[in-house]
Amino acid sequence: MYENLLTVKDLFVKYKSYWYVYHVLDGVSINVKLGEKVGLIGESGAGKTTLLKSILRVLPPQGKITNGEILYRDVNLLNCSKQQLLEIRRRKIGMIFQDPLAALNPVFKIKEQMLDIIKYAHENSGMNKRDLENIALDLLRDTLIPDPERVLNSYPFELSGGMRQRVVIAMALASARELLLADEPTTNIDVTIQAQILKLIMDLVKKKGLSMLLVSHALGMVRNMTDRIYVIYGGNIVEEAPTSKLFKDPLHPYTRLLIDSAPKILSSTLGEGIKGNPVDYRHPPSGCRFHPRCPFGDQEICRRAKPPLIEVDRDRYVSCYLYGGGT
Amino acid sequence: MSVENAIQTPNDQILLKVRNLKKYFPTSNGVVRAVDDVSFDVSKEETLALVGESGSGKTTVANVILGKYVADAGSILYKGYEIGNIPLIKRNLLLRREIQVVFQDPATSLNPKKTVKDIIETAINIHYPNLNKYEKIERLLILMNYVGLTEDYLFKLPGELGGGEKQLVAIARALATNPTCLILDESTSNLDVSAQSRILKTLLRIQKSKNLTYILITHDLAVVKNISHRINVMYLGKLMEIASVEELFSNPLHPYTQMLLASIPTISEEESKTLPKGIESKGEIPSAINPPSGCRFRTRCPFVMNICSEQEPILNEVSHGHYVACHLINSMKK
Repeated sequence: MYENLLTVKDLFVKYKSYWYVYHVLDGVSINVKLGEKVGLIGESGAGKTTLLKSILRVLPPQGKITNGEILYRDVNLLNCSKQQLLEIRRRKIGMIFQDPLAALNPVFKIKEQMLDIIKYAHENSGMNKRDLENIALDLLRDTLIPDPERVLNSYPFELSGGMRQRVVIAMALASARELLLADEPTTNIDVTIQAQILKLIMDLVKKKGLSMLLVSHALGMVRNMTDRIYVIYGGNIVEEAPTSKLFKDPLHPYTRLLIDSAPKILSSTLGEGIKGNPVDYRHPPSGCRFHPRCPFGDQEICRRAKPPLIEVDRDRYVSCYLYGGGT
Repeated sequence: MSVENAIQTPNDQILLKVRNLKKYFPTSNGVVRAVDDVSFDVSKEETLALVGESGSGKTTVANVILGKYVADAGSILYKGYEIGNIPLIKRNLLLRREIQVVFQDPATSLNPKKTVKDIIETAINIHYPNLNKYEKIERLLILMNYVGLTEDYLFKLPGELGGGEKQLVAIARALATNPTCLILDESTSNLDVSAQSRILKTLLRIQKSKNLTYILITHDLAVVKNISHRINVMYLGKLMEIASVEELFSNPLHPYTQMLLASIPTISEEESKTLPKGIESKGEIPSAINPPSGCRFRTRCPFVMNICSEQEPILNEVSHGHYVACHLINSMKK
């Protein structure tokens, strides 16, 4: 069957500021198998982007990985040589960043920025500039950009939001030959363009045979694009399930409330929402990090110890004492 | 008669009448036709949604109603009185109290150095300067209670609040003047779903108890389905379709509306079955400087005909309260 492409084991990440230490990721374990499309959903501030940045080792200097393992095939990204890491970043994993305007440098033309990436992705292949430019044009054509020559010679501000996102996708594909990391690829984009971009990503992933890790807070989007979903809350994975099962029958109280609060188009009743605020990482709640907001969170055991991720059904894992795991 | 008299003597069921509204912005590249001949009504105590992609002129319509811009042509009648040509600076306090706004991003619409008390009190001070200290505090607490914030929040700074709570403060501030009409400019699109549904519930509750009229500007059709009564679909400065929520979701006629509905990411199989099929989103919204001739949507429309580039479709009533501007629908009717 599937082979594990990316494995994150028991990852802890902290951010340090002048006064405080922010305990963000708290023992996160995920894996992406070959050819699989995996989703990661959670509210803003749940640690989704931190996890992606840890995988690529591009955390800001305040961010420290204090424990854990990140395996790409059998290379441990946390203690491999610099050359191995660069090799993986340049030719194996590509990442689509959240804000296309921030991901592109405003003072360089698209051509210069794309060639910069392509140059390293095709290092030592003996290609001249003309060939590299053709690769850039092909990548832009793949993303269905009309008139790629014009786009190549434009500055980012001359392009519309949808076009910029397509350019960012093309740049990610330049180095993604095995795994595509997508960090909220369609926030701040209109629904019609969003539908186009999502279809484009799906088609490209299929065509190029990539695996994908998609991070988002838009539930509907993740549902349509993935095979398996991890739900993250406050730096903990609280539930893992195949996509169809998760939306039909969510188990963890957080997942239930989250799906319940999404506005539906069939019924006209609004969900309750979730009371309280996201986790304050300076002083994260003891035990289960969701217990202060949880409708069942008044048990003593929830405050005392972090619930383990236990298998409740085939392929379904949940980290909650409602489903056992307590002593 | 002045505007003040009109506010005291409300007469009919239409609160806001927008007629042939035009707003153009001259730029160095040409004139941007942000809103081009738009007419619609807003009834009392209803929620009217303005839906469309960015660049379709939704916010410009709201800004003209608010007085941030003066209309270039056409009229806006508020309770029977023309307000479209009065800039904000010339509007008196009575009129300003009537129409209030809640913006998209509470992080930027609240002053980060002021406490929640200061933020809401400023609005009370400006509009009710004659109240004494205790009456002001009482008013403040009533407002906070209204939106569901406890007294613990009084001396907090916006930075200490979550996104949803910040938006509640912005709503309390807008309610400080006892408005009749509240414009919600993408008020929930920056929030997580968990916070969003709390805000929407609060808005619904306030509307019922205070008999407010909402103008909801958004691109999230699932939100629209849940809280509004009627929908105006806008595209490139024009109205494409006007219908009640039930009618629009069960019988969308304009191809653009169908494209919008088909683009909603759904969270269950049953939901996706109710949405229109077979019409796929393509292309992007053209520039409003040189909009396409005839029907503005024709460049992206899958059903484009010859007449579409020659003649501009006008809004026709196809059934009670359901208006569509499309040649295809008109020809089918004949």
